[in-house]
Amino acid sequence: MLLFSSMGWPTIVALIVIVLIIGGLIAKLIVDKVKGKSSCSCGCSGCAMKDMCHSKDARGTKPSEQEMDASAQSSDNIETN
Amino acid sequence: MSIKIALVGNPNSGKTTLFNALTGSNQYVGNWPGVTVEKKEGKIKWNKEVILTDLPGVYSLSPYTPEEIVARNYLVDEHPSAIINIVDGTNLERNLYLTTQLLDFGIPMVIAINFMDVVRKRGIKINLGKLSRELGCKVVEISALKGDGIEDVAKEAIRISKGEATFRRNIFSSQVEKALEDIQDLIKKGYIEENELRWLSVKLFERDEEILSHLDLNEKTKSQIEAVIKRAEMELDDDSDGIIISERYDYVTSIVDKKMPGKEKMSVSDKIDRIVTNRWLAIPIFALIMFSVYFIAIGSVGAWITDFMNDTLFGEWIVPGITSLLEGWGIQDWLVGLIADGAIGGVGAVLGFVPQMLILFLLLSLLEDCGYMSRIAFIMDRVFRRFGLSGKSFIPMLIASGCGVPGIMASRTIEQQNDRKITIMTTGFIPCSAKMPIVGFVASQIFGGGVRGALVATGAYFIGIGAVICSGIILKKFKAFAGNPSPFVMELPEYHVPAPKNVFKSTFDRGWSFIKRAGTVILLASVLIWIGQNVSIESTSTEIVIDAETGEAVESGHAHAIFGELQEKLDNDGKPVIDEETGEVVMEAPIIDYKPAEHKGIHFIEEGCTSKSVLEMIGEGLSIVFKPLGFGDSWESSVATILGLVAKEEVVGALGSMAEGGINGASEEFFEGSWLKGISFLIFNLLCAPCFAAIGAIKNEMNSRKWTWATLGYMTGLAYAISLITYQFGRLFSRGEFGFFTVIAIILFVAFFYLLLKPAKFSLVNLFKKLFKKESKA
Repeated sequence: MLLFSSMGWPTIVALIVIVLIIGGLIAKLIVDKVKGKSSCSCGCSGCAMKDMCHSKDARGTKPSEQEMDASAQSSDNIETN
Repeated sequence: MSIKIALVGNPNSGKTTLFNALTGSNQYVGNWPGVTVEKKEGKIKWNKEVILTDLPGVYSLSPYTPEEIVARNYLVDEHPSAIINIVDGTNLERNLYLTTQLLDFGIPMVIAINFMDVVRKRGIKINLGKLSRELGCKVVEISALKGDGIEDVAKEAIRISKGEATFRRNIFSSQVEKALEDIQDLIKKGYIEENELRWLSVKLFERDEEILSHLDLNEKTKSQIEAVIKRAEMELDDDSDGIIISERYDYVTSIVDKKMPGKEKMSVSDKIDRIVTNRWLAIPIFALIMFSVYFIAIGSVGAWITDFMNDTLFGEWIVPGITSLLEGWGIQDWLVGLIADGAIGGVGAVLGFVPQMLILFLLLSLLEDCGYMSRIAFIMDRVFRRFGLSGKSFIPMLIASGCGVPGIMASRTIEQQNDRKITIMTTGFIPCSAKMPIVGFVASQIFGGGVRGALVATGAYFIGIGAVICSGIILKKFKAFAGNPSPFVMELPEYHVPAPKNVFKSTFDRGWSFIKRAGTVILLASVLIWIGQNVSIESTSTEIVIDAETGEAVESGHAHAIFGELQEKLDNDGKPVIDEETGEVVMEAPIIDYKPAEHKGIHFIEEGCTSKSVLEMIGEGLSIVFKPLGFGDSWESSVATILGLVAKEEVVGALGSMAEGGINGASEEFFEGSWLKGISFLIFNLLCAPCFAAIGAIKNEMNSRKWTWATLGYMTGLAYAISLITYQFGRLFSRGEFGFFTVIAIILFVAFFYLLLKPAKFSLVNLFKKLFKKESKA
């Protein structure tokens, strides 16, 4: 309370505005994340791969963990030395 | 009921351009294969009943590549009402091979012959009427880029979607046609629809395992089909899929020969390519072009505008203006500092580089749109293949120069898992747009821009490519990555004048994303940095002189949070300072020897307070790690490097927030203007683990926690090693300084070259085994 009473109204108002802006930005980032919007630098509008991020069957062409490990094992078999 | 129309064609035949023109979408268009990996849907602008699906570019419908799987599954499972087969008019033979496969589906089809403007310029004459009669479907001339004929082709597709299926039955020789009829007789007893029979019989003749298992035929039928195939193989003396491929090409050649009078001349593109893709000249020309790009964007025009943004706009106008405005409103100093120095200073440090970014994006978009960047993929394929990598790996890297996330995702087009893993592990080395402010900062602030700055920026790009090549050479020698590179087929598009719409859209999209990031993630991070830099949890002892009358500090500051208690002490104990010998009052205010051991709370640091900020405490811990790399001498640059994990732009944002003189002061304050520290800082930040978004993409694509950690460890390890070697060797050769870490750098340098030059089939485990055996024998 001592801290707040020593601040004065202009500071308190400015602080509330800052907190609201920051809160709003954090909320937007969370909402975007939940909605599956991009959080990478490129943004979706000009991205070549945006459908791969958001389409339901985007995983279709991606190898499974087992396939990744299997590829390593098959390479192990190639390696004889 | 809606009409579904599929857009099918070879890679780089202009499908996405046609899709954008018909639907009004803004899908990314690139003139290299693999730009469209997943299907995209949109409604035709003037008829919302029609759903157009842009399928990935494929050369055939054999399900070998991810693109072929997506395209084939769509045609088989989704049953589109019609197909628009977009064909590159400048290369009919190869494009019509896919057309013959599409005809097998029995789906109503219209052929759109694209690039007709180029076809006419080359003097090629295509007899549309005769071609249409041969293929049994309407053929329409279009230029997707200019919008010529695109409505006609869409209207024709809508018209035929309600009509009869398109069939062309006598493509193959009589022996094959007979075999196909026999197979159809064997399978049509089941539930198969009439119009699917042709395609299924061809696939069964090719012994397509997927179709065979999908049809669930009994053993008797399977053996009867096999007998039919063997009979045809005996008659034609070839294996079944070879027969189909060769007969399709024979057919295409026959109709193209007949329908294409006119001689093809050597085009302007061919003449340019003789120089720019020349075995010896290609790389120097590429280096020269990239140097010119960076000289304009980072070294000269971009640097002048960026200097104005940093020095004048933010340095003299915005930050001081807002500071005096807020102070005038009576807002306390700490909040003014948070807003002006923290938020605006941090965001401004990043935004200051926007002009450089925009010019760079514009120039790269021009290179991309005119067709030159496709040549780079071709040139790099030659280089990559020499070192056991596939040219396909360079496509994700081209995309990653915008952002690493789609670049990493684009690795999905690589069929071979070993190549895919290497590509995912190394794509992050290419400087993305978020790393460009770091490049811009080092090039313009530490190296002073101009030719030197441009050389640094160009060097940063080639360090990325060099790291990819060296990683490819080294990793391919390990068991997990061994194997032959994936085949890479790409067609070089014609050079053409860049389309202003494409260029400006690409530049705007990239620039706007950059600005949006500065207004969200960078703003939040800058505020957190300012708080971290101005808040302390450290208890310190400060001698404070306090005015006895007012109770206010007169000589040094202290933390706000402990002021109330000080005041209390002052009220109870405050006495004038009296000279013991003379008895005179020497100071009206008492001197408090304050020992705040009991004050462990969080407090703001004001002027004169000796407490270390939270950020400084963290930074000092981190800087121990980075000290051997030179830039660790200042904890601020260490903190900035770590904050790059949030977003690479934040490296510069953090430096701008933490430096007293803003981003302009960061060079002297944190790097002492040392080019060696600057280069070391640049190399580490270019090559180390990428931002969290890219790490997420790596985890997603690797689909394995183990490989994700391996990737991050490899990237960071390589970044540290290269940075250490650069800094320590730089010290040794420029100043003759030699120390413990110089020895480490020499060992790493030797080990690096050993791994580079060591013959393939190398394994660390085997190396240790050999060493162990030698020791045992000794």
